[in-house]
Amino acid sequence: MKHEIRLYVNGHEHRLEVESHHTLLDVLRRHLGLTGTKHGCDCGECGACSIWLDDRLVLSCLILAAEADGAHVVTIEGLAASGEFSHLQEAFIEHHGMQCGFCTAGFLMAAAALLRANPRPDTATIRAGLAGNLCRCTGYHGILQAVQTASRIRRGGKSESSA
Amino acid sequence: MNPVRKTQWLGRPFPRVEAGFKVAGGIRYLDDMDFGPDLVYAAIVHSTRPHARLVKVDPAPAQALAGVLTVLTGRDVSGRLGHALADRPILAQDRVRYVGEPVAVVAAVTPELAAAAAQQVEVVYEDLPGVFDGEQALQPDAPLVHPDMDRYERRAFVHLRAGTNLAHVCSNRRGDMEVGWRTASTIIADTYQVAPIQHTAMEPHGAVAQCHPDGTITLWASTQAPFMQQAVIARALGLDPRRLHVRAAAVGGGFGGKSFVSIEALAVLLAMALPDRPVKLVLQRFEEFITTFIRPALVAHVRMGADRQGKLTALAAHYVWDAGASADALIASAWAATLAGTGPYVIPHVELTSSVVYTNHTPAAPMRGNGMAEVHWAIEQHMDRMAAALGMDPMAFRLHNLIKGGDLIQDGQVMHAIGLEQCLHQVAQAVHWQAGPSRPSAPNRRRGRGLAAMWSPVLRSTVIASTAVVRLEPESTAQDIQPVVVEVGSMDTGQGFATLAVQLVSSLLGVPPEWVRVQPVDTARSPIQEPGLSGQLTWSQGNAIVRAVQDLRSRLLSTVAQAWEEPVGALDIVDGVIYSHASRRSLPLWELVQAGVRRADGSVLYPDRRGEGRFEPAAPGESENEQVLSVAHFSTGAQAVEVEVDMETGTVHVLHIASAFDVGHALNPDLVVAQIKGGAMQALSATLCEQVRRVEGIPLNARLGDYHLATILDLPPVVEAMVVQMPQGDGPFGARSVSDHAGVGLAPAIANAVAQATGVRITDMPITPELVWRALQR
Repeated sequence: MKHEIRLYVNGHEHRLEVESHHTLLDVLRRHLGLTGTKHGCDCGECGACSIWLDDRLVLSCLILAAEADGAHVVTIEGLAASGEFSHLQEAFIEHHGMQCGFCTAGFLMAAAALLRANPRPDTATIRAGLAGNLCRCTGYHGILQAVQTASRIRRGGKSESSA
Repeated sequence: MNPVRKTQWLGRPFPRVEAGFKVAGGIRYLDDMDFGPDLVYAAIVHSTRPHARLVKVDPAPAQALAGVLTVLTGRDVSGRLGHALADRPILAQDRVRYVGEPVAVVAAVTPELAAAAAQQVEVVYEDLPGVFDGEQALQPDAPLVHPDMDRYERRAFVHLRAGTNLAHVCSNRRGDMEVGWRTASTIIADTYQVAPIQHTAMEPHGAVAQCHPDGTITLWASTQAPFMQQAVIARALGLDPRRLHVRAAAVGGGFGGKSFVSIEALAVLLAMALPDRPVKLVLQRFEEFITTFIRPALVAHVRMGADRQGKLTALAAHYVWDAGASADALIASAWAATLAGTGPYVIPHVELTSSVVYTNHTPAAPMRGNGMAEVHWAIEQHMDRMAAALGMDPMAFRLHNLIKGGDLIQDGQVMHAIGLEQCLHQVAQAVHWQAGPSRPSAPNRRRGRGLAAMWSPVLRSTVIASTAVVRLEPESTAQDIQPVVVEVGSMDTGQGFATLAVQLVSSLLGVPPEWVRVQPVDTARSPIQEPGLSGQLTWSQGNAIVRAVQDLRSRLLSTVAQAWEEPVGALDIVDGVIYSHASRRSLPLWELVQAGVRRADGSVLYPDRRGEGRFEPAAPGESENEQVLSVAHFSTGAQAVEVEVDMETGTVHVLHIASAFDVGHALNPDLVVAQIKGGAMQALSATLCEQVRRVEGIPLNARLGDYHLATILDLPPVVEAMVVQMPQGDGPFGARSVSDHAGVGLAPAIANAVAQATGVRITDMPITPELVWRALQR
């Protein structure tokens, strides 16, 4: 069965006709060409497809596109374009928070969601916030350091602006 | 004043060249590439039986579905895949040998339709008795997995035993075993096991193939070995290799699982049946576990003797590798285990044997370390037990027997200078080896420390030669496009090889790194790279790049020297400008490339813009023994850990990992450290979490949710990486590779620490809480 849906993706409105079985991940990648969000397991077990749906961190392979009608979606492309988390992206580069890069978009979406909710996370909070994302290359060490560094920069930035 | 050299980018941290794209979601892996509206999607029909005769494979019900373009079965193709031993049918013929084996392949207009059609192919099996254990497969009455193996095409170094399940056996002997045992005062024998695990690259395997009107075929693949894909697939399909053109996509992790051909030939086969349409086959996660490759299960029988002074006298070891239904990918691992199966110790009397055995399991391929992680699991635990029996400290016992530069390794081969002893001291110091047990965090917990040394042979037989080309593209300008192009046949699979290439070229040519780009591998254009394992890129391909840059540089400078009538030695290239120390004249490199250089008489000279470099490692010594001659050098290192064990649940918590590797010369220290830390965590996951579970050949946990990969929650509080730099004589600036073997010593170090903490010895990997708990109850 086909469904007419409206999605707001990275600030742009899209009207789409989707099949009942299409996941949000399918639609982002195949219909909209937003391939930064990755297809790693298709059953919510690897975190590579993490996106924001109405400001919540979700796994786009577990959401049917028809369910998302009217929702606001942010993907890695939108996160990168906004510049809001460029300090986090830079910290991933600095601390070698990626190697092959396939999990990186998912980690960035999860880490940015974490920092939005809690600008000063302690180590245990960072670990808990990223526990749903798998990385086979880095061993997570550089990722943890990157998020810690980004939280310090964000904190520094905030205290400056509020001063 | 001479210009200051600003182009030295070696030996210092340098960011990954592609990192900016990766953090923006801008890298296009295979499944992200746009192949246009004609794209066709493929799906595999898998065997559901571990061992069975194929009575019937009927494609008709699938073929009848609207939108299904073709269904191919074993009747449509008879070729077998293999680099050393062609033992893997592209599609099952008269029988299936493992659950997950491709029986048919479907192409349809959508991926959903292809998957649905695959379910409609009718397959009738007649079950055959199977064999699901490497050692049982060696019994005389075991069912045969490949009754016709002696008819398979193979290389001369594959030693199979027709009429058995032994696909390859190799041995390495020296000294006199009788003398070895007679002079020993302490002899210990035991068996160690390593469970199968899956490489689990985050990016699944994938391939897209298209057959063009002129009959040539392009294969885009997520692969660590594009030239291997070309050679092996062309041979299996009876194609002229020049007709098959392999283009490597960005690779989202491989770890050995993408070093051989697995499913890529199926895309080529479909493309040949559907001319002019691109055909895409991207695997589902469960197919990674059952259809591609897994790291082999190992059973290691070890018998070791030492004399009263604590010197090792003898070692007999038999390594039995469960190859599953294809042994092709394990030939080099088996070989390596006979060359380095002693661990890094001087032992005068040695007998090492590797047996690669067929079973009805998914085919095995080495994973990171080429079998060394599995071998060291046995040897490095055995070393601790020998030390205990001799009343020696495990560290002191290792140092007492450790191989050093100048020691005879085997007949005709002398060890080169290595920093192994420094590595051991550094990791021991890092975990406070000499201190007493530290205080556990709870009364029901115990702490312990463990360490392990390692070595890993770099085999010449897998790297015959490396070639690189560095060229300048005159049509581009340095400002907008990167005009210095590096062409190699080796892949950056995430370890950072492209970054290293940029560092080498910019530093040696004398241009800003922003000018340099590394071309994606394309078998039609890139210099051919003999199939090799990635544990050698820095060394072999790095050397070729160095030579290619030197060649290009001397071509450029000799042209200028000729025009200016100056000696070449007076000229240099600094920051992209050619400069004469003698005349103080200067000429931007780009002006030279585009407009040439003017001579005194007004005529213009143009330089060659292409440099080529080739590296062929020298034989390590004189020997009649082909095995000895196959080692180019050894990489060495050590790892130590502190663990805390919950005595009530058996759970092992790793508190501290310290790793030290002798990398010769760290050309990019940050990348080296990233490899060492990442390798350690990957090994921790294999040691404590992972296991491909199956009963009678039926997979039980072929999904990530049931197959436990370490997450960030498993990351120890302290992960340290230390770098020792004992230059590699024939390495680029003394460098050797590190990424492949960065986890080799971790598993035995953890097992040794668990033994120290609890008093129980876990000989089977993974060290699950259940295993520890059961051992504690005994």
